[in-house]
Amino acid sequence: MKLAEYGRMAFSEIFHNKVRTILTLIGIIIGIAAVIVIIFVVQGAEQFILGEVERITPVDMMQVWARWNPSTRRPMGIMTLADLQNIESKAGDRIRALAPMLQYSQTLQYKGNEYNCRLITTTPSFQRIYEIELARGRFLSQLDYEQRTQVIVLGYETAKELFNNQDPLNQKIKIHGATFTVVGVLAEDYQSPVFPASVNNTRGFIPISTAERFYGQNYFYLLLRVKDRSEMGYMLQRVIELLNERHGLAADGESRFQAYDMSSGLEMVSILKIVLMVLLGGVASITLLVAGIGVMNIMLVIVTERTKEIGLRKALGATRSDIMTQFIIEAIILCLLGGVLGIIGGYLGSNAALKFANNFIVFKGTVPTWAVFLSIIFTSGVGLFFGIYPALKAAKMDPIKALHYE
Amino acid sequence: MIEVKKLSKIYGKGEIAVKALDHISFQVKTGEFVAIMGPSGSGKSTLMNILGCLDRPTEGIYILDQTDVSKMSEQELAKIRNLKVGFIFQTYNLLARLTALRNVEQPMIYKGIARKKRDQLAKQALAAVGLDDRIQHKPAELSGGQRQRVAIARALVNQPQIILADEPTGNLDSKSGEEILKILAGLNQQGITIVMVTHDQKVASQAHRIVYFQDGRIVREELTANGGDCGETG
Repeated sequence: MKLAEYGRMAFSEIFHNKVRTILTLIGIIIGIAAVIVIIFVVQGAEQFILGEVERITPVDMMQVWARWNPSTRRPMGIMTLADLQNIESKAGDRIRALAPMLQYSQTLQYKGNEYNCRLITTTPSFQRIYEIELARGRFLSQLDYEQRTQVIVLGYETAKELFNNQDPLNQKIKIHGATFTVVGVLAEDYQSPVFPASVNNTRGFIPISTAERFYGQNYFYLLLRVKDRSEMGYMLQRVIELLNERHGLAADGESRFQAYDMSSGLEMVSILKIVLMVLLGGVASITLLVAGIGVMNIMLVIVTERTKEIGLRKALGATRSDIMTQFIIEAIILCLLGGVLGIIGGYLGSNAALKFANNFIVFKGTVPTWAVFLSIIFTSGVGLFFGIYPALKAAKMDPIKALHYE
Repeated sequence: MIEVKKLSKIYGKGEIAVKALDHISFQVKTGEFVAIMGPSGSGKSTLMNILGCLDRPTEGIYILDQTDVSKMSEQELAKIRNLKVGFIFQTYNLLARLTALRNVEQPMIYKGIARKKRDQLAKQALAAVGLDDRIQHKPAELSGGQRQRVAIARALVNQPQIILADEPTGNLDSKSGEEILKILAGLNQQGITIVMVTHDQKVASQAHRIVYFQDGRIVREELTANGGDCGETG
């Protein structure tokens, strides 16, 4: 009840000296507003970057590689199509799609035209892994794979370079003298996960079984998308186990293979965020420290100005703790007012930042509620901490001297 | 009611020590109206400060309402100031930002009275000094006499046993001064003990008894014409 009364007194004092109040609080207002805008921007930037990263790296995808032996300069193990079957038969219920991938740089020929293309050898499942869209024809089929047929699917630009404006479907092209029939063309500028459109435009795809006929068995890496993202951790282990079953361990007792998911990119983003937040915290602390000292200074002025009032209140029966509480509450309310104005400023600033950023990118963001609460708690803390000394000075005043202070 | 025995107040130490009060002994009975006179620096104000529990004596005993307050803690003294003593100052000491009503409420805040009840009691106190039509005025909007009446209402509102008035008419014209003295006399008739410091013999003559101070000692006491009906009952 007394507290409510002290609060009322504080408000009347604070609003009576509006100009001084604003000048005192400018540090806190700018500090809190800046912190809120920065939190807003960092959160928004994080969402934006995560969005971009997730767009190009599906979080349910993993890659399996053979470990590299630096002394022999050879991989420690070579996966075969039998490994694929083994994984599919034993863990297939958790797998959305599984495909090998091996890339060659090859020159394709059609009549007089030549085009150097990034040729991928894989299985039909690859279409599901990279969500391939076709402009014409079809992707590699299971039959192509099983019968090792000499068919090829072309990237949009590959097809254009070789055939100009002619329809490429069912045309025969030559790779190293072997003849392949074009069965499909990728959509123009098709953007797949991981690879940008410019790369996809210049691709070609042939069945991996067919490739083995020409290039022999070679080491490939494995692409796998899980059905349930939460099982990623388990699947990373399980796939290695299944490979170990068939290949045994390497000389060092570890597996010959390694599996990665795409979370490492996301980790970088969150590390960046933590670094930014720590820096921000440092800047905020220094700002609030400086602002707090300003508040302490003005509270000392207020206490001196109101010496006579303090003497009177003591004469009327105020105890030391009554006086102390009154001035601490005044300091807290003063700082809280700064905090609230700072939060409002922060919202306005964030809005401006949002509008500005949206000129360039699709930037979404909100001021997080915790930032608002933290600002309130911090500013009251500043008021409490920097209010104690002036309040103590007021409480300790000799009532007689205070009463006769002019 | 009030009894001081061999009360001394010494400021400073050793060579530069100043004896503001030098072994004062005197009594004020319940319901009595005492005026204190004397030149500046004679110890009147020091005595008033001690009587009002704003200060503690260096030596001696001060018994207020059968309690020895000379050894009380700061907090206990604050409570006595709040509940048993009402101060009236020469310069009124009103809070300029607050209305008459809010000024009168202040002592009740420290007593812990709820806001509604405070409003009610403050209005009563202001009515008792004839200011029912000025409760929302701020000190700057009131005359000197009216300000002092607000101060009296504030001194009264916690129903103290004793009112300490330090030159209550010192800043007022004679007409306003008389009104204030009339109010004080009225309060005294209701049983409130009053101790008043004044320079003005005419003002002092309103009391039952006048105590003369000089150099920290009581040099003379005399009963006034009003002395006959002095409250001997307490």
